[in-house]
Amino acid sequence: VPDPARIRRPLVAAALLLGGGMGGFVDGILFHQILQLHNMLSARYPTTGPDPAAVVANLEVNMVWDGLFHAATWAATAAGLVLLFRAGGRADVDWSGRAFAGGLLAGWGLFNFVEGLIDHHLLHVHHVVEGPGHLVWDVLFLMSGVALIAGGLALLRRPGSAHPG
Amino acid sequence: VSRLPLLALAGLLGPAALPAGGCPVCAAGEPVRAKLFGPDFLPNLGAAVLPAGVLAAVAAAVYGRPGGGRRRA
Repeated sequence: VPDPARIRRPLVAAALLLGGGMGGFVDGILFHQILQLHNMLSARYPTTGPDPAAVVANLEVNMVWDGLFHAATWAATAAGLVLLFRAGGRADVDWSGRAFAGGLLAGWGLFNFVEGLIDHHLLHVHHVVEGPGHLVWDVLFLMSGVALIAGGLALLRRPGSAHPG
Repeated sequence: VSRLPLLALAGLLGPAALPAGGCPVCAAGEPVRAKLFGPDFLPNLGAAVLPAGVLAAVAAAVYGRPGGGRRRA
């Protein structure tokens, strides 16, 4: 039974930022760079096409905006590290592995959901897979966010602490 | 420990890290600059930083009031 005097909020807040930051890096590294499914503004400035000069210019523009996306994600991750360090120095924080894992999953899911909602559906700056039929992939991405949030919340709501100290 | 040597080192290495042509964005051609700093600059900036910003706002709400905790022995 967890000690009611011990709190989880500092650890969960750190985990949310770290999970969201890592999720953002999955998006940027896997989708933007390795698989090259999309870039930050690839729906507005396509990175393929018949005009090589236009494609090169669009690639330059997308590279800058991909960098700004990664910079924001890096800042969230760094803030998560600071919060984790501070939580580690507090005696009243429940140092629960389950709560930390739940926060990581919820943070990743929240990032996917917000990023999908804003970038894919509201601003239309890019889609998960550019081209016809992109809506299916965009909705699947949103659903991945919801599933990760649900999994994270389920872990967070389970009672008990993995480590009493 | 003084931070001055670190700052001096960063000041020396910062400009050296730039490519020979200077800042790549500044040196970009007009088509690239027009797309980078066009009328949709702010929406694009929002698209790049808002997801992390919303995440930070939620984490701050979860964290609650700063301070007040007991330090570990």
